[in-house]
Amino acid sequence: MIEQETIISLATKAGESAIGLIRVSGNLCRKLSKDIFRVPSPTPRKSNLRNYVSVEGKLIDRVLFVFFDNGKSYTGEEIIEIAFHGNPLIADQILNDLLRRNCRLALPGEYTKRAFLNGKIDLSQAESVAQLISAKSEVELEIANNHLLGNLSKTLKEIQSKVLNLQARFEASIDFPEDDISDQDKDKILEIIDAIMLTVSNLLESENISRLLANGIKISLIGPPNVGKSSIFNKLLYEDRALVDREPGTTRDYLSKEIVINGFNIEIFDTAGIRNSNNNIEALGIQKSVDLIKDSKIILLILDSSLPYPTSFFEQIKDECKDRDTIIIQNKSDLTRSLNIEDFPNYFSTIQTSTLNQDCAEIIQKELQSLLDQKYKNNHTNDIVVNKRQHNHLYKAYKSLKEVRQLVTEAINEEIILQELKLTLQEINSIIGIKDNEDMLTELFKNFCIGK
Amino acid sequence: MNLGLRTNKDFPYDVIVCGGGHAGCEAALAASRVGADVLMLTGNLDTIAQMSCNPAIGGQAKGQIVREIDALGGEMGLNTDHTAIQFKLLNSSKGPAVQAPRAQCDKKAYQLRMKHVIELNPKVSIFQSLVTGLIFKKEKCIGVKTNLGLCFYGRSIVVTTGTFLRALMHVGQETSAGGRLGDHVATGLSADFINAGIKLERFKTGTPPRLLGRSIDFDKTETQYGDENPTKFAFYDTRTEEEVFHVEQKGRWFHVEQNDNSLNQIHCRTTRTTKETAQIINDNLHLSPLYKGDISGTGPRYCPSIEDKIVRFGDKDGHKIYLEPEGKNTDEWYINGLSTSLPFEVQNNVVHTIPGLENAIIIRPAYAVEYDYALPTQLSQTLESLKVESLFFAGQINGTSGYEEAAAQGLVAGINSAKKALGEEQIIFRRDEGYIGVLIDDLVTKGTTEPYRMFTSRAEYRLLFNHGSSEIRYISKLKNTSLISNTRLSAIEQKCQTIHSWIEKFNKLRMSNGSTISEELKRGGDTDFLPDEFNGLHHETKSEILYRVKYEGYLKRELKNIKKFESLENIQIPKLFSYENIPGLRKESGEKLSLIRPETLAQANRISGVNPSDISVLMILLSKIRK
Repeated sequence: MIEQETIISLATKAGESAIGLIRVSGNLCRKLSKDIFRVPSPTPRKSNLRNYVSVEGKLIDRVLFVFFDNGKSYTGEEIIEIAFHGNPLIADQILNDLLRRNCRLALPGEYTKRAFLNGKIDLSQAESVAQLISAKSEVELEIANNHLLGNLSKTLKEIQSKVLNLQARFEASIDFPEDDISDQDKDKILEIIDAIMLTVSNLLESENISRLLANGIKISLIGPPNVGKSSIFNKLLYEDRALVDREPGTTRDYLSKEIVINGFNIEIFDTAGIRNSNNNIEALGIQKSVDLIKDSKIILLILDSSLPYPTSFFEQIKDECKDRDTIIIQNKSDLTRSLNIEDFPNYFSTIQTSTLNQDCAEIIQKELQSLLDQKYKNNHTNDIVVNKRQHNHLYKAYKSLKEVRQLVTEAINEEIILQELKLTLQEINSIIGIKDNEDMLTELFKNFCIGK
Repeated sequence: MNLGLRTNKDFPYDVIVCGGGHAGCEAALAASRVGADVLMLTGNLDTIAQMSCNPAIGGQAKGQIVREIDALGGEMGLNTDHTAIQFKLLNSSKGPAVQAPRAQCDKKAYQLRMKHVIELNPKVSIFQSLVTGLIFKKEKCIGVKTNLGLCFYGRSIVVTTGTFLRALMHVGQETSAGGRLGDHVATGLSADFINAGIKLERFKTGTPPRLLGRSIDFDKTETQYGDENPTKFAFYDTRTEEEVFHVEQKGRWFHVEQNDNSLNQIHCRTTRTTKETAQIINDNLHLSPLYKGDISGTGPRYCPSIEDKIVRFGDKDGHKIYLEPEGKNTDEWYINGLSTSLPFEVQNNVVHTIPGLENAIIIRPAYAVEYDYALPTQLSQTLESLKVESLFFAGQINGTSGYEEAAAQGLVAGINSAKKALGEEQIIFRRDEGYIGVLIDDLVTKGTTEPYRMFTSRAEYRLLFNHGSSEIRYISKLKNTSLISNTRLSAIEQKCQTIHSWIEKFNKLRMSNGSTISEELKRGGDTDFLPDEFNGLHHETKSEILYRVKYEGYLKRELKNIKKFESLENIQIPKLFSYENIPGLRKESGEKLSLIRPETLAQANRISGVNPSDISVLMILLSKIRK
């Protein structure tokens, strides 16, 4: 057998479906069966109902898996097919877990290629297989290029050239020991590495944002009881979904509904009012509200402008709200004002409104829109990592940069640092094309006067 | 036996080497070791193994190459050690992988000893004669013509003509034909190459002025001392005394001192250019043939002329200048870092602006030289031409620079030309085996856009190529060849065993603190806990063991990287494989592949512009052929 690495891919379409299928091919399959499913010697072609347990021991899903033996599978190698509940998050978790277990993502047409090389496909099909592979690569390249036209490609090229420059600095001190090359300033080098790492980690974060945009952004309405959360929830949905009552503590669990604001998929939550309560059932609902804050990207903090600032309420939620974007809505603006704006915690913006007004929903929507635009559209949408493969390379680049940083801090020899730094460059190269030693030398001779 | 000079067509030499420089010498000697009957032709017997530029061998990446040449039975290492006047280990503060030996040599002694080595070799005939053309039979080269009208015939022909093809020297506006100051030019050969379909391009290089030592004020310069404990190029732990002194004992070579005494070393000096230097150069740029556009060839970026340095990097705080003695029996000094093609009067003024050189007398002017080189991508991995059978190329004619790079190619071409002539299987040097493999693979796969010099950064597995491991790395190649003696071969095998058994011991032996010796060594610090028996080993063996133990993790990683490409290395591409009309193979890739004609899929993978999907397509088609 020519190929050794075990490859994985999602065999079904990405997205919601009843069932999803992940296919694994390569000589790690038997080990995976043992490690993941506790089935050390799986019977070929028999389906097994098992828990998928991650490396960290976390249960991901209850799945069906089938093992195919060497020589008796599509690729001719050992294969495992894993059928899971068709939720994109589960698919991601399983793929990520398999990556951590030393598998790698399959290249376009790679299963077919292996099938051919292992003699599972007739020789007369050789040429069509070759064409298939090259066509699929072209398509992927085209897709990648289209996505890469914008800021992303610019950002990646910048990262690449910074890594190359770093490499040239170290190489110069090795290959030209007698030329006038001043010693590399460690702090300066660390500064450069930190800057590259920051850019890479921003890009990695952007993948989460792209998933966020696809799966919906969670927004929670949070506030003390009886400030009008449910009224606002109803206004935003243009329907009477939540039960509205004057008695505080009416909403004891939460309600949720999906809406679209300016192209963003939003899941909006109405929650129980938060206060100190002796009622067990109400306390449970309040706890759920606090938990929801953690799950949400945006908080609509609703206050009654006719009452003073509820300090004890804020004490209860301030930790959870800290890293979230908060819009403070001062409701009941039709009543006499007692709320003092100086008491407010950190917030993105604040608006005054009354649910009695006709345009209440529009005002809130407008505020949300500007927040969404600022946070997700203007900032990042051009900078989104297009697919899992790229994300994977970037992640590895980040990890190896971290290693480089460590080696530099410990003042390890340059040739060892370079062994690691070349890995970083390889990962970046895998996304936007190769810069090789010739490019490094060009950078080196541009920056250093060599010539003993 | 040396059968003397013969011009009989029916009684050809096995190998004819055209050129007696660093490539030519190693080629002739290597071919003789393989068992070939060799003729070496040189335009001038007095310039055999001449160092046309700086009087030094080795340096970063080059020092490692010389040790590899020595491991493969070449002469350069011994010749350097025997004639060196100063030794220095570069990068001694860094890890063993990037440490490199360098030696200043007595230029004349170096030449004379190498000439004597060749004179004494019973399988090599030498003759002073200028090669003016090639003799072809169909697509094959079968001999050479010389300026005396004599023709010589050979089964293999090795071309090592250096910078002499259509060579043109520049000093300011003055130009003259010649490959080196005071030497001739080879004119006829270029035309024969072109007629045979071999593409030529033009490079340029330059050399600094030489000064008279007694006119230099050394008090104004800094002294550069050699190392107290010299690092030699040749391996002495595996050679018999007879092998070390093979010329000294058999021949008339008198220069037997071994240079072990550091007191015998001669010092180099350094100084710096000044603001006045930069001023003069800037004022006279219009007189530089380089800046006037009179020189069309591409020069090396790593060895720019002083005018290049000033133009591109400014005056800075001055550029460093090294003063290097050319030998023990001469007062001629080489001015490293001051290469230029400015007119002589300007050179004079430039020299006089430099501290210590205010009254210096130039005894040889600096000059630039332009020459033809043959695109190395027209060669196979054995250095045989893809266009003309039995014609091999080595050295600067392939677009390289440096004595060491030339010698390494000479060695490879010498071995393979001889093996071809004798009908034996040729040897390919892989880039995962050492610098020689990197050098040849780079040249024949990627070509070069400037005179090619080796850098350690070119070797992706550089951590494995520490200079001390050269013999061990090539042991499998040396078996079943006559490149080194059997006694040396078994000594190397013995050394390998010693190294492995000590590494095993270090992995097992526990110290009082509970950790193994290996673990303790990886931590660094004192090594006074090592057993006496170990301390008694030869220093080469000791350092190799310590390196392998301390850097184990990093070395394993390099080996893992090599393994990744092993499957591709093992897929051979048939010689006559056609890249035309392959479905799925991009047209531009097909064109590149038919030009370079890679020998393995791994080599194909290294051609710039050939992408992974092309390789997949080829892999599929090749496996179809194999089945």
